Amino acid sequence: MVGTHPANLSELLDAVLKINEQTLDDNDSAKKQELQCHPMRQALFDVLCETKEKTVLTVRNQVDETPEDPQLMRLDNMLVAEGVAGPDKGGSLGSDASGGDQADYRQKLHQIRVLYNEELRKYEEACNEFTQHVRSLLKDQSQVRPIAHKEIERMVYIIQRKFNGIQVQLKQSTCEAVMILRSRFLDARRKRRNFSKQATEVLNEYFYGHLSNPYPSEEAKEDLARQCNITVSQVSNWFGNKRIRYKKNMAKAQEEASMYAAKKNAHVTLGGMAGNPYGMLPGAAAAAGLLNPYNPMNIPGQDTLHMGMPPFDLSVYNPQLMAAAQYQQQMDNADKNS
Amino acid sequence: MSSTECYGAPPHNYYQDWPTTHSYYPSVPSSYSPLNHHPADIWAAHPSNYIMGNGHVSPPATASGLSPPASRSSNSSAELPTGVTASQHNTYKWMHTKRSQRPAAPKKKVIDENGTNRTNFTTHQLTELEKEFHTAKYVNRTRRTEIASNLKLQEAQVKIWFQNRRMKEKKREKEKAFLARNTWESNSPTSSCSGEDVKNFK
Repeated sequence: MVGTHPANLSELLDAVLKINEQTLDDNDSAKKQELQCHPMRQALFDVLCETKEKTVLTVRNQVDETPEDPQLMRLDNMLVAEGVAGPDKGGSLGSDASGGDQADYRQKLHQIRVLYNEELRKYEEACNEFTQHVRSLLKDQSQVRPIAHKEIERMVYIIQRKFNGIQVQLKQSTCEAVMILRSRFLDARRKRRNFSKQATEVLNEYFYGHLSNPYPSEEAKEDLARQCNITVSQVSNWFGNKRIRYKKNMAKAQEEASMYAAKKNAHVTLGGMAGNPYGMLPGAAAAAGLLNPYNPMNIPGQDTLHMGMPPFDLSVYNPQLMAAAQYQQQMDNADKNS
Repeated sequence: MSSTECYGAPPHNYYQDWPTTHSYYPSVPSSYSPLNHHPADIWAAHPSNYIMGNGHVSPPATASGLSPPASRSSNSSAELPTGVTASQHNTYKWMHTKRSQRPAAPKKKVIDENGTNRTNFTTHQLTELEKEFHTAKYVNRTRRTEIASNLKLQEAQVKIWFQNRRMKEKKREKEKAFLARNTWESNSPTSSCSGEDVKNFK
């Protein structure tokens, strides 16, 4: 009994040494097949794996499982929002620009989108190809070396993480390209251009037609923008500038106001002369800034007559009213002075 | 007597409203003239004195006051509304409102403190800020500190950039809604159903 045991152990060690000295050549395919069919192969494989794990335990602990990359998430959010990634929504950017700038911007954005998708496809193909190559290589080596399945998966994970760096760089470059494009076309201060004469005419007509309160509502601004073929913000800016300039140069502005009033009077006189017995009242109505100067009615005329006639009459026959008028005038002067 | 009675009734109603609607005062002559047919001498003398005596005090005003009678005697109906319109322009309140004057000191302070009155971000900084904006429209203090240190900016600059960016986003959405409504109305002008106007939000 004692003599037999040492003899078996020595034989086993000799066999292992012989295997180590062998080389894997085509002529040794028979030996490889013999090794795979050997009944003791699995046990030997397990023992070697356990030994390997004990020696490199610290390496495994160093591998940290990180969740989804927040930086990559932010990049994806921006790419989708800018229309480079995700579903193609061509009309969503129409509100950012008008005219030729919009067409140019869309064209260049489309180019960036095509280039980005192509590069992303190349990246994914290269990553998959490399991963498959590494996986098959490690699987072949596991035939004669102690390489476990989970080790192969871990290596694949490490490779994918390295490739992620390339993906981040690709997306970062694309985002910067979009920012450069946007600053050049959309957000940059465009060259100053006057509105068309027709647009200016429409805006001036509205301004002088509502001189008592030239603050158009949102609906009015949208209507004017549609008529003039400009944006709502441009209409708002125009009215702000117009009010300021009117106040700064009152005398000159009044001449322009008179010109527009004369134009309206011409329209009103031609339209209302036939059916209106009071020929001068439509002009007065237009001058008063009514909302509908092109269609004078009898009621506004009567109101004007009613409001216009009595003061003179009362001032002649009623001294108290004259005193009240003088007092009101003094109040008005005081208000103007302050 | 009948004409006197006609004058009597409206005065009572008008007297109550007259003090608050003094802007209609210049329109008296144009409305009065065609209906009453008073003699030119008596009418021209009395109302003119009344208008000039109360409406204008300075000599230039008096000079401008003399021209209306001449135009009235020539019976040019086209100019009467023009004169009325011109005189009415001075009475609107919005023309007299002024903004409060701001001192120039804050600008100097800004220049002295920062060395430059306007920040010009680099493309990289704008890209990073834009990424943060698409992730979250508002940033808290901790995140703002991180962003500022990463991009080598001041916290105030990051804060103001986000404020301006939110306003810009709001402006874009407004213009987009306007264009969408415009497109919808042009596609079906007869339809007035605005509820179906779908707005695309980013």
